[in-house]
Amino acid sequence: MFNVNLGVVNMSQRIYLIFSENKKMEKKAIKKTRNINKSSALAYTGLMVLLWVVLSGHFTPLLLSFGALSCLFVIYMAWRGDVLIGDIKPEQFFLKVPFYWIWLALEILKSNISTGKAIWTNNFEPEIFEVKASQKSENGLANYANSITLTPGTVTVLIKGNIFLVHALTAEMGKDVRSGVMDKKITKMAL
Amino acid sequence: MNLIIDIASYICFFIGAFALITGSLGILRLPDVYSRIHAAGIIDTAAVGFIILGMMLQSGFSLTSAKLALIVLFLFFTSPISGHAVAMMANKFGIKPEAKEIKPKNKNAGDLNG
Repeated sequence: MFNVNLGVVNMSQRIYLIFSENKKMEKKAIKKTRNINKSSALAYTGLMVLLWVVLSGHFTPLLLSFGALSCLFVIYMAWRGDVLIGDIKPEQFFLKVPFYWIWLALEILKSNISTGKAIWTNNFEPEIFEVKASQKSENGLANYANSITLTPGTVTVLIKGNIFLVHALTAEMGKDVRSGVMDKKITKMAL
Repeated sequence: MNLIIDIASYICFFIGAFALITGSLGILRLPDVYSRIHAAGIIDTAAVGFIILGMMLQSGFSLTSAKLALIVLFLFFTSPISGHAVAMMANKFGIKPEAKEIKPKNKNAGDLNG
């Protein structure tokens, strides 16, 4: 019984500590710039509105106003969380990303066929190697690592800085990754 | 016209089911964790993609199709993360892959040690 009470006291103290620390953090955050990049904000709003329209499918005035309110609230939170300062570029979703996705889908189809062939014919020689990524931003690095893992036959095992440890199922796929075509495409996209 | 769309969607379902069988066979047949992730990757991409493509053909040009496309989009964003998480943890706990190691040509790239 006593132990439980002690636990509660500790818990409340801890919560108080968290809140007070948060207040300090908030004061620091206000001192930060909290800039706003206009094209980034506009593209983010467009993405939110598009997502809401697709998911809702109702077009009465009441529900549309609710949708507008919730979109505005999300944009406000993104602004408060320094998402809109321009280091993440959602406008690329309308400019360059769709073309990359089409290319990636074809690549996924090809590697699916060769991986399936390797499984059915029981003919594989796994290899593991390191690959250097040329992206500058964290977002681009994450995109490259995800694209490598998404194509069946290659998996990013470890990431350290801009060097990836990649496991490939056959020698052909390993050669594909080391040739760096995908790397150049993602760097050109400038996410 | 209706018949053609029906047949196309049945073909999509068939390809998706075949990809599912291929992936499950790969999970049974391949030697270690790292290779089995590739087989799971087939299920994550080809099987899901083709089955949902078949569903989209069935529902026609409508809001339901857009929602199905969103499902594929979010799945393609999240499934590589789970695959990478499995591979990274296997590497962290010291499971050695049954694989040929290829050394980098320039020495600068070689500061990654398992």
